[in-house]
Amino acid sequence: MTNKSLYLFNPKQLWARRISVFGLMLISTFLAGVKWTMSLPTDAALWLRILMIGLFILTFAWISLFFWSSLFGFIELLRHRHVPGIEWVPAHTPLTRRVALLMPVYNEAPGSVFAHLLAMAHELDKTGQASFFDIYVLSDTTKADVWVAEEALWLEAQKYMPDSIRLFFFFLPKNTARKSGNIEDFCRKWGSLYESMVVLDADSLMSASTIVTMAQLMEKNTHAGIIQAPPMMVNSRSLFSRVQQFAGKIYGPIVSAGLAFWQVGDSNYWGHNAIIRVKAFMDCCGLPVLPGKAPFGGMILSHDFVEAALIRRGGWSAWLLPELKGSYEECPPTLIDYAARDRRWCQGNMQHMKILISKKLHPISRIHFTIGIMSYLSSPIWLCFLVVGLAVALGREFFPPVYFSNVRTLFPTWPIFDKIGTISLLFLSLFMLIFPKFLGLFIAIGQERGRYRIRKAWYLTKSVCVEIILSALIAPVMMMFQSRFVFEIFTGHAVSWNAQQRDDQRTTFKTALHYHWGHTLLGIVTLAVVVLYVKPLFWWMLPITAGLILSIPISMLTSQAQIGVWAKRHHFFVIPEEVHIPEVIKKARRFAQILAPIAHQTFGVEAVVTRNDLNAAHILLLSVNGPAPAITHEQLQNAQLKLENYLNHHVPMNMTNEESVALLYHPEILERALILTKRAG
Amino acid sequence: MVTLTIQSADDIVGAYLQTLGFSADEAARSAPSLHRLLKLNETVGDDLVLHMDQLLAQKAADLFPDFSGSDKERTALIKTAYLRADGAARWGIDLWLKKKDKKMDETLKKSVLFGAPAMCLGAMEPQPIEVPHPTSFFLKKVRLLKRKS
Repeated sequence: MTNKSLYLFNPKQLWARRISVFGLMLISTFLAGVKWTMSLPTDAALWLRILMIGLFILTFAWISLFFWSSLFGFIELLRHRHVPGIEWVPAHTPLTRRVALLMPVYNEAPGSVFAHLLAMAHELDKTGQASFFDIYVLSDTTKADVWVAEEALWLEAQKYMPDSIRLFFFFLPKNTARKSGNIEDFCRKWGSLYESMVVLDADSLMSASTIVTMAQLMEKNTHAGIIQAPPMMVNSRSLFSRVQQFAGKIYGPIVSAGLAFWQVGDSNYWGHNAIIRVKAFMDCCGLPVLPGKAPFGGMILSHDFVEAALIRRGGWSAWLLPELKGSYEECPPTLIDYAARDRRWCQGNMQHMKILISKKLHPISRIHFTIGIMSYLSSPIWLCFLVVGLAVALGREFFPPVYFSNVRTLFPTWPIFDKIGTISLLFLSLFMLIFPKFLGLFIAIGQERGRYRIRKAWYLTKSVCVEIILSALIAPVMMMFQSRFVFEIFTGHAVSWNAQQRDDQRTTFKTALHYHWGHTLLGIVTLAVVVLYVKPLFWWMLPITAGLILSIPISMLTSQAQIGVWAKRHHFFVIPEEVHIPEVIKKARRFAQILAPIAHQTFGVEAVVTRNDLNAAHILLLSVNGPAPAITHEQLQNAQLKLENYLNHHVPMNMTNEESVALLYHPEILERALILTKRAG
Repeated sequence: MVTLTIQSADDIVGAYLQTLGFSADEAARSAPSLHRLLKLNETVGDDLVLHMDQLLAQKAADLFPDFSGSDKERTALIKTAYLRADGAARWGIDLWLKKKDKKMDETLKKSVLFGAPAMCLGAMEPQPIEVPHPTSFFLKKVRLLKRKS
C-alpha cells in the first residue's frame, strides 16, 4: 500500500492545514521571540540573555501550538465538519467481520473490570450485531489473590452474560512487555480469528453504538489501521478528579478537533478506546527491545505512540475521530495518583527521544513523539525559565548597573529594560493558555438544550473560572513533580510499573507531607527571596509561590470525595453525563453492585480449595495459560506444608505470593485438597 | 503432595461427589450406588479419584470433541459445566451412566465455559527500529538541505 492511495483527501489541502497550524505557531513564536529579545535587560550577562531567549522560545512555541491547534479545532466544531478522508456508513449497516474486545488487566480491582464488560456486552446485545464480538480479559496480574479473584469474577460474570457474546479469560503468567506484550500475545494466539480488535483499559467503558460504528468504519475504510475514539472522563468523585473530568469535557472537544484538523489520517493512538486492524497490527507493530539500558533502552514503555508510528510506517492510516462519542475512562482520584501516573508516562515518553529520529517514520509521527516528549520536558523548561528570570532580577539587585565604564564617554550607559514589553508578553502567554478554555466554554454553552439554558450557562462559566484558579494553583506542583521525573529519568532512574489507583482514597496529611514538603519549602524560600530582594516580582510570582506553599492542603482537600460531592451539589464541575447518565454507565454501576458481594471477598488458594466451581474453573483455565513461571522446589514444598496444615489442623495458610502461585499451578494438588476439605466438612 | 488418607472408598466417592455440588447427605447416599455401578472396588485413594476423573474426561471427550485439552482439562471442563447447570440436583449420578441422556448432554453443552477459543497461531515479528546516532541524523539533514539549495 503506498501513501498516495491511503485515503481520499487532497494532499494539498492536507498540507495546507498543517502549514496553517505550524506556520502560525512559528510566526507567533518568532514575533514573540523578537519582542522578548528586545525587552530583556541589556545589563544582564550575555549568556543569561541567550538562555532566557532559548527557554522563552521553547515555552512560547509549546503554548502557541496548543493555542493555534485549539483555535482551528474550535472553528471545525462551529462548522460541524467531519474529519475528511474517512468514509462514514449508515448506523444499521450489518457487520461482516469478527471483532475482539480486549481488556488487559494488571492487578486491577476485578469487580469494576467485569462490571464494565458486562455493561458493554449487554449494550452490544441490543444492537443485534453482538454475535460478531468476543470479549477477552487478558490478565498479566502478578498477585495470586487478584488472579483468583479475576477468575471468580469471570465465573460470576458468565451468569449475566448475554448468550450472543462470549467472555474469555486468559492469564499470562510471565509478561515482560506489560500491556503491549499482553496484546501481542493475544494476536499471536487468536488474532487471526478477527478482523479488528477494540483495545480497552481497565477503566474503559464504551457505548455499543460507538463500538459498532468503529467496527463499521474499519470494514468500510480498508486503509485504516487505527481509529481512536477520544475518551472522556466519567465517574469522578473527588474534587481533583471532578475538576479534571470537567476540564476534559469542556476543553477536550476543541483539543481533539484541533488535533484531528491537522493530523487527519496520520493521527496518534492513545493506548485504549481505539479499534485496530489486527492484520496491520500483527504485520507492523511487533515491538523490538531498544538497544541500551533503561530508562532510554530496553522494553518500550509507552507503546501506543510507537505502535501508531509503526502502523503508519507500514502504509496504514491512523485516525482520531472526535465525532465518536460514548468513549469513557476514569481519572486518578488524587493529585498524587495523577503524578504517579505521570511518572510512568513520563519515562515512556522520554524513551521516545530515541525513536523520534529512527528511520522511515512519517514526519507527523515524529511530531507526535515531540509533542509527547514536550508535554513533560516543558515543565523543567518552565522551571529553568523561572529560575533564570529570578536570577536576572536578583543580579540587578545585587549588582547595580554601571553607568560609566572604564571607557570615557560623554553619556552614561543606561540599562534598558522594557518592562511593558515583558508584561505584555506575559499577558499574551496567559491569553493563549486561557482563551481556548473560553472557546471550549462557548461550544459547551451552545450545546445546552432545553429549559434553564441561561442558568446552565452560568454554572458552566463559574465552573470554568474556578477551574482556571485551581489549575493555576496545581500547575506549579505538577511542574515540580514533572521536573523531578525528567531529572530522575535523565540520571538513569527507571520506574517500576505499578497498577494505577482508581478507587477514591483521600490523601492523608502524612502522605501529603511526604510528597509535598519539598514543594512547600521551595515555595516559602522563593517567597522570602522575592519579598526581601525583588519586591516588584511579588505579584508576578504569587501564583507560583502560592501553589507551592499551599500544595499540602490543596493535595489533601482536592482528594476528598465529600468536597467533590459538595461542589456537585452547588453546580460546580457538573458535566452533562452526570445529569443524563448514558445507558452504558448506568449498566456498569448496576453490575458493579451485583458483583460487589464477590468483588469484596478475599480470594486466594483457600478459595480454590474450598469452592467447587472455582476449583474446576481454575483448573480449566490453566489449560489456556502459558507455561508456569519458574517455581523453586522449596517454594512448592513450603506451600504444600502450609496447605496440609490448613487442611488437617485449620491453621491459616499465610502463604507468600510465590507460594500461592506455586500451588495454583498444580491442579492435582488443588483437586485433592478440595476433596479433602469436603471430607473434613 | 497432598494425599488422600481417607480409608473408605465410599468416603472418597462421597467427597468427590460433594466437589460436584452434591450435599453431604446426598453424596453419602449416592456414593455406594455409584461405587457399585462403576465397580470401583479395586481402586483406592488417589487412584480412585484418578479413575473417576478419567470417566468424566471420557464423557467430556464425547460431548466436546473439538476441545483439545488434556484429560485433566477435559475433566475440569465437564465439571464446570455440571456445576453451572446444577447437575447434582438435576441428574444426580446419571452423569456416570452409560446410556445417553440427550437433555442432559444439551444442557451441559449450553453450560460449558471455555477460557479461550482454539488457538489460531499467527506470527508477529518485532519490527526494526533503526536509531541512527543523533549526530549522523542531523548531519544527514544538513547535507540534504545543502544539496537542495
